[in-house]
Amino acid sequence: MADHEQINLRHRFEREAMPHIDSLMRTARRMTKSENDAEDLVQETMLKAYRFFDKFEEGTNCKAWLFKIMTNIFINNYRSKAKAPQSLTFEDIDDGFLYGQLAKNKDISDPEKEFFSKILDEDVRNAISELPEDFRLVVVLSFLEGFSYQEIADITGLQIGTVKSRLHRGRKLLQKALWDYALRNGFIKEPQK
Amino acid sequence: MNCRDALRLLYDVVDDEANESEKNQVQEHLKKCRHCSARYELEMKFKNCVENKGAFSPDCADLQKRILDQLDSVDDTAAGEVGSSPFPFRWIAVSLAAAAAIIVCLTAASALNDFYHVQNDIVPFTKAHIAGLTETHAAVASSDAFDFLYEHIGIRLELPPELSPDNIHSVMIDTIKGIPFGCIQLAGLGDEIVSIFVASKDAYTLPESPCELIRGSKMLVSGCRQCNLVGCEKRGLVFLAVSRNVYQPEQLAELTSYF
Repeated sequence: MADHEQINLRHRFEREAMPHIDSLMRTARRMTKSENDAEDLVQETMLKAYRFFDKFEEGTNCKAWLFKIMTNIFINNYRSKAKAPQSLTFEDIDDGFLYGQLAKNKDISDPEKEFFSKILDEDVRNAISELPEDFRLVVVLSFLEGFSYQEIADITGLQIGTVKSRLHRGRKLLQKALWDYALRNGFIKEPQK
Repeated sequence: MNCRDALRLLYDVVDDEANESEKNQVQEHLKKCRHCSARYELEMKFKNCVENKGAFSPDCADLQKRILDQLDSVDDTAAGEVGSSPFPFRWIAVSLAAAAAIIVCLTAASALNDFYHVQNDIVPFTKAHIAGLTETHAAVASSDAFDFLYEHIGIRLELPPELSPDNIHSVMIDTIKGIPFGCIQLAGLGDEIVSIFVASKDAYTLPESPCELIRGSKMLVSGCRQCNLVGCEKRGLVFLAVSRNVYQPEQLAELTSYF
């Protein structure tokens, strides 16, 4: 590659790709659960992206492209060491779990308001971190990074139906986890049966 | 629209995936149904709660600086390369270094990512190309290539995770002066082919250097005779031959020095 092409590529990379490192880092932190691993993962992603940046089609979705690279690196290099054997027998959670629980709660006048105002940022982040990995990835990509179902399917290589069902499942697990936090912290009481 | 249909579309609407007509129909239903509208409202609040409280802005200033420094060194290496080579020399070097622990390793794994992106316009090897080989010879270009090599030279190579069997242009075995040599040709870089020769340490028992042996053998395809070929004489053998004169001998020597 001639010098001026390399310089143009570098400028374009700094303009289009570099602004996404915060987002990449946020997801990397959620996926690796370790600050160091997350930094390594993002660094590796950006270097790989730079090497292949001349293949990246200008004007297409750079953020999704970077996330796809990162997801591949994560799956190939990080997952195996981070992945503890996961119990796949989740207790069954009803659809609309949170809605049902809050509706049953007659002790306070506005249980929804109570619930959402008292849940802390930290609680939400912990609940996300504790999701099983497969659900965590789609939840993070959807809720925190705002990718569409189709974009998540492209990034993860999953079928769109699988994305939807994992997101659905992830959402229920998250509701259950946050409900449990609320009970444990005592700002909401177990509804009477 | 009834309650069942409205709830079926619940997450599509909450996640902004429903189309206009679906959204309108849901809106109409919610105006009439207190139960469904309460449910929708709760799910919306839940999503907002996770979005707002779950997100955080990591401090990436240091990381950003480190990445930019690394990009600089990538640029510097690129500037130091000869001509407009299609071959990502620096990445081969990096991955060869990483593979040093393996006795003989077909690697260049990261570089081989490029194979996925570059139009492969090489005419596949045919039997005719290897008809002149002296003794044991065969060519395979499939995933059983490594079994084939193992069988003949007793060295187990592994397919790097990023390399697809499709990138193996051919695998050849030839016996040169009684010692079996394997040659794996990797294809996909424009008209560039990388040949990696492997042999056991027995190759050192001969008076000629392994390099000379390979140069004199028929495993080097015609047109490749003048190419740069550098041998590494540690940990068994690894030879890297690049067809055409894209890389200078000193660059290839640098590659092998990583072992």
